[in-house]
Amino acid sequence: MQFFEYIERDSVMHSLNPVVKLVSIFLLMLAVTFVYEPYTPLIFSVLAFLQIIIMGRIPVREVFKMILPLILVLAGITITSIIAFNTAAEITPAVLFSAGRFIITVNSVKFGLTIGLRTLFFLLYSMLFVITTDPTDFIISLIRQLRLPARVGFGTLAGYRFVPLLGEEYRSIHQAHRIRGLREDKGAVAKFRRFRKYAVPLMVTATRKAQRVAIAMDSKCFYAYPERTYLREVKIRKIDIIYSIIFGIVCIVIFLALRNYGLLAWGYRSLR
Amino acid sequence: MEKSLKKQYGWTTLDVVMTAVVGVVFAVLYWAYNQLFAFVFPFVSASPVTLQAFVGFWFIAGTVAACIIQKPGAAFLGELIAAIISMLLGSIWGVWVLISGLVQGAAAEAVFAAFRYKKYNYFVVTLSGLFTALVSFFFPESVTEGYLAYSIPIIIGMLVVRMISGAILGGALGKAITGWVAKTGVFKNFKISKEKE
Amino acid sequence: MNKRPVISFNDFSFSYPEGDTVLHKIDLEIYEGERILILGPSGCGKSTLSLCLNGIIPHLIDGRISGSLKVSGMETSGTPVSVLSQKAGIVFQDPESQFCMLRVDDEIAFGPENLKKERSLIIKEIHDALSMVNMDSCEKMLLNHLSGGMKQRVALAALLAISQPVMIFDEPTSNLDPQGTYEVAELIRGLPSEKTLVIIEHKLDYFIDIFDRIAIMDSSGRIIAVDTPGEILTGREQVLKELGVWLPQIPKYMNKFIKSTKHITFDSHGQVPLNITEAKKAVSSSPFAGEIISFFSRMIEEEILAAPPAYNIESNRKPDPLITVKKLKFSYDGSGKMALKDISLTINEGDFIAIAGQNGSGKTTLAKILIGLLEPGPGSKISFRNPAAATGHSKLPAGSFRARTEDVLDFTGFVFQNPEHQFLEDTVYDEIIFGLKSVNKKRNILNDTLMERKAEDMLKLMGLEDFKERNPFSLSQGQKRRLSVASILVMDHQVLILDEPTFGQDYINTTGLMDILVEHHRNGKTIIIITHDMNLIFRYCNKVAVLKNGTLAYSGYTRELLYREDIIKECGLDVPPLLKLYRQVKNDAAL
Repeated sequence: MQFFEYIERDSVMHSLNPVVKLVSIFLLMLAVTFVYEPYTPLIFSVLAFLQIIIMGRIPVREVFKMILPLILVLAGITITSIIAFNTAAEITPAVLFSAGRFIITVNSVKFGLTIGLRTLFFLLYSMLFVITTDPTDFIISLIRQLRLPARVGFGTLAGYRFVPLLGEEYRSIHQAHRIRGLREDKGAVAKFRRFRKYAVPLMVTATRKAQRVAIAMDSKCFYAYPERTYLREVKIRKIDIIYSIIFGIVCIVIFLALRNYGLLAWGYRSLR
Repeated sequence: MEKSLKKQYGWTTLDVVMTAVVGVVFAVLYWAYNQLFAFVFPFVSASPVTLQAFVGFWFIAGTVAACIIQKPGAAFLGELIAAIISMLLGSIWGVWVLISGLVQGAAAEAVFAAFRYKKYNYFVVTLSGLFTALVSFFFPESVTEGYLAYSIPIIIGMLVVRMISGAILGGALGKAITGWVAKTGVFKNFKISKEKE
Repeated sequence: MNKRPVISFNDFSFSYPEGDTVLHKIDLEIYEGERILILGPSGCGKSTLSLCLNGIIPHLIDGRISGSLKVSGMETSGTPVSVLSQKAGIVFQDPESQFCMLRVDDEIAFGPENLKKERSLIIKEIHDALSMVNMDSCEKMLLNHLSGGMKQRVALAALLAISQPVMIFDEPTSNLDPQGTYEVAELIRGLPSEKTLVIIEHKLDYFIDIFDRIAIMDSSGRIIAVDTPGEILTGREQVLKELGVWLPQIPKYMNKFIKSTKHITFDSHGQVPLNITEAKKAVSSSPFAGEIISFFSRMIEEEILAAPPAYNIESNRKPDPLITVKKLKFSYDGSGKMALKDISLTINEGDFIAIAGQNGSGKTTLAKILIGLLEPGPGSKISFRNPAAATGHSKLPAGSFRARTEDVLDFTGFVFQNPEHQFLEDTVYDEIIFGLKSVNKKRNILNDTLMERKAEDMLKLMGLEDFKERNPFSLSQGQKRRLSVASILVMDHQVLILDEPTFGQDYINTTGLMDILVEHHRNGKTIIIITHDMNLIFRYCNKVAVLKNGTLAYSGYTRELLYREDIIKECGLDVPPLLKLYRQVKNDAAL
C-alpha cells in the first residue's frame, strides 16, 4: 500500500534529526519550485539520488524498484503540463506543432519538462526523507523541536500503527463481499455505490480501535504531568548543524553554477 | 467553570486518535479506489481539467473528523494528521503534502469557525469543501504544479471542476459517510451522537 | 490475608446516557493483595466495571454514576484519570488495539515517560519488565510482528513498568490460542503477591486455581455473589449455568460426580478440587477412586469426545472425497516466505472437520484457497466437487481460476471471522434477504412470499426475530455472529466453512450455534470449521487437520489425534483438562 517506507540502516542520513532533515529539504524544495527550467530540478534530482544511495546507503536497485511504478505518473504530469501551457501569452512563440488553435511550442515542452522533472525531484527528496526517517523519531522530533502537542503526536502515531491492519481489513471485506454474492460492479456509478459498503465497516472498525487505543493510552497515565520525559533522545546535535551547513553550501554552489552557465531562470514569466 | 470549559472545548486523547484513524481509513480507501479506478485514470489524467474531479477526496478526512468531533480545530487537525500520515506512507510530493495539509486545514477550519462551530449540516460542509478546494488551488498547488503558466480557459475549467469536486467529494460525501456510520451507533462517545436528526 | 480494602464499591451504579443501566447498586470490597475473578455472561458490564476502576468512567466515557467507588482511598468521580491510572492499570482484551507505539521498548517506555521518569531509569525498567514476562532482548522488535500472546505479554510488561498496585485484566486471553493463553495465565499466576489483581476472564481452565474470591455478575449488572472459588463453583453452579458462563472442566465434573453419588465429598472442608494436581490427590486418596475413574470415562465419551461419526446420506456408502488438495503451496508476496507448504489433504462429503492450529499457522489462508478467494502457488492441485452434482469421480475444475471460484462459491458458504466484514445492508432483515436474492439471481426458485417466509424462519432459528429492523453493526457480539451465520446459512449451501465461529462467545451462544451446525450436518451438509478451541473440536468434529507453521502436521480422525500427544504439543494445542486428568489418574491406578 505504500510507495516507500522506512528502511532501517546505519547511515549519515539516518542519524540526522528528522526536523532538521525536513526543514532543509523544504527550503530547497521551496527554492526549486520557483525555477522554470528543467536543468535545476534535474541536477537536484541527481543530488537527491546520490544522497539516497551514498549518504543513506540504500541499494540502487531498491531505489529503482520504488521509482518504477511512479514513472507513468511522472510522464502523465509532463504531458499534461505541455498541453496546458499558455502559449497565447508567449511573446515570440517557437511553434513545434499546431492543430487549429492547439499549439505546442518550445516553451511548452520546456515547461512540461520543468514540471515533470520537478516532480521527480520532489519524489526523490520525499523518498530520501521517508526511507531514512524512523516514523517514531519523526513524530517525537515534531513534538520536541516543532512543539507539536504531545497528544497530537502520540495520537497520530497510534493511528499510523493501524495502516497495515486496516489495509488487511479492506482486503477481508472485499473477499467477504464476494462470498455474499456481491459481484464486481461494472461502471463508475455502481463502483461508487459500492464505496459505502467498504467505507462503513472500515470506519466502524477504526472507530472502535480508536476508542480502545485512546482508553489504553489514558490508562497509562498519559498527561499525568504537563511535561514528559523521552526514551528516545531526538535532539539537534553537532552532526545536524554540520550537515545543514554543508548541504546549504552545496545547494548555493549548484545554483550559482547554473546561473553562471546561464541556465537558471526564475518564475513562470521567464517562459514567455 | 474551568472544568466545564475544558469538557466543552478540550481535546481528549480519544478525539486525537479518532482524527488520526480517520486519516488512515481514507488513506486506505484512497489507495483502494486508485486500484478500482485504475482503468479510468489514464483517460482522466490526460486532461488537467478532468484530473481535478478527484481532488475533493484529499479533503474528506478533515470534513469527516470535523463532523464527528465537532470541536474547534477538528477540521484543521484532521487535515494536518492526514497529511502527516500520507507523508509517512510515501507521497510523491513529500514535504509539500504537509504544507497543503496546513493550508487545507486552515481553509476548512475557517468555514466551520464562521458558523461558530455550531453547524455541521450539508450546507456548511459543502461550503467548507468548496472553499478548501478554492484556497488550496492557489497555494500550494498552483505554485508546485505551475498552474499559473496554464492557459486561461484551462485554469477556469480546472477551478470549476475542482470546486464541484471539493464540494461533493470533499464536503457532502464526508457528511454522508459520518451519517451512515452514525447509524451503527459506534459514535457514542462523540459529539455527533448528541445531534438530533 | 491482609484485610485492608484497596477498592471499595458502595451502592455504586452506572448508566450510559442512552439510559440503560449497566452497573447496578454494586457493593464490593477488594482487599490489598487479593486476586479476584469477576465472572458473568457476555455483555453484563464486566468491562464497564474495570473502566470505572481507573476513572475512564465517568471522566472520559459519559454516563451517570451514583453511589461511591474508592480506589486507594480516592473517590473516582473526583479524581482525574491521570492520578487514578497510577493506582490501577488495565490489560485489555484486544491485543491489536492497546498500543500506541510501533516498537516494544517505546511502548513500555510510554507509561514511565508520562510519569517523567529519568531516561536511564526508563531503560532499566524496560529491561526488568521484559524479563518478568520472559521476553528478554525483545526491545527492538516491532509490535506488528509479534504473536497475540506476545502482544499481551508486552501489554503486561507496560503495566509492570508503571507499577500500579492494582492490576486489572479484561479478558486478556480471549483472543489467544491455547499456547498464548497458557503463557499469559502462567505470567499472571507468577505476579508478585502484593499486587491486587482484578481479573475478568472466561477461559477458566487455565487459571481457576489462582483466585482468592470470585464475584458473579448477572446480566443486569448486579453482583449476586462473592465467595471463594470452591464455594462459588459448588454452591452457585446452577446460577452460573443459567447465566451461561463457561464452567471450568475439573471442578465441573468433580461436582457432577458428587451429585451423582450424593454421599461423597472430596476433602475435609468439602472443597471441590480446582486443578488437575488437586483433583489427582483427591481421587487417589478417595475410597471411590474406581468409581470416579469410570465416571470420568463415561463423561468423556458422552460429553467431551461426543463428535458423531461422519454422516452420509446412505450410511453404507463409502464417503466420496469432496475436496482433494495435493502439494498445495502459497505465498502472500509471490516469492519470499511461504504461508503454506506442501499440503496434501482430503475432505470427504459429510465430514464435520476442523482446521486447527495456532494463530498464524495458516488456517484461514488454507480455507480461503480452498474456495478460491486466494490463488494457490504453481504446481498446487485442488479439486473441489459439487456434492449436489452427479456423484462419481472427482474432476479437476476446468476454466480459469476466477471461473472456478464462482463455481465453488455457488455451493460453498464461508462465514468470516469478523461478522462485520460481510454486512452489506442497513437492517438485520435485509441482510438475510440479500442472501436469498443472490441465490435467486442464479436459480430463480423463490418468489417473494417464499423468500419472506424463509427469512422469518431463519431469524427465529437464530433468535433474531426481535431485531429485524436493527442496524447489523449495532447488535451485540453474539447477535452479530448469529446474523453472519444466518445470512450464509439461508443460502443453503452444500458445504459450509466457518472461520472461528465461536470466537469470544459465551457458553450459551456457543452451544446454541453449534447445535444449529450439528442439525445442518445431520441434513447431509459438509462442515469445515477453523478453530483452535480444542474442547470444541473434540466435542463436535469427527475429523481434524492440524497446521503448524504452514505445514500439515496431522490429518485424520479427531479421536486418533488424542494418541498423538507429540503433535498436540508441538502445534501449541491442548487436550481437554478432564481427559488429561483421566489419563493421569488411570495411569496411577494401573501402577
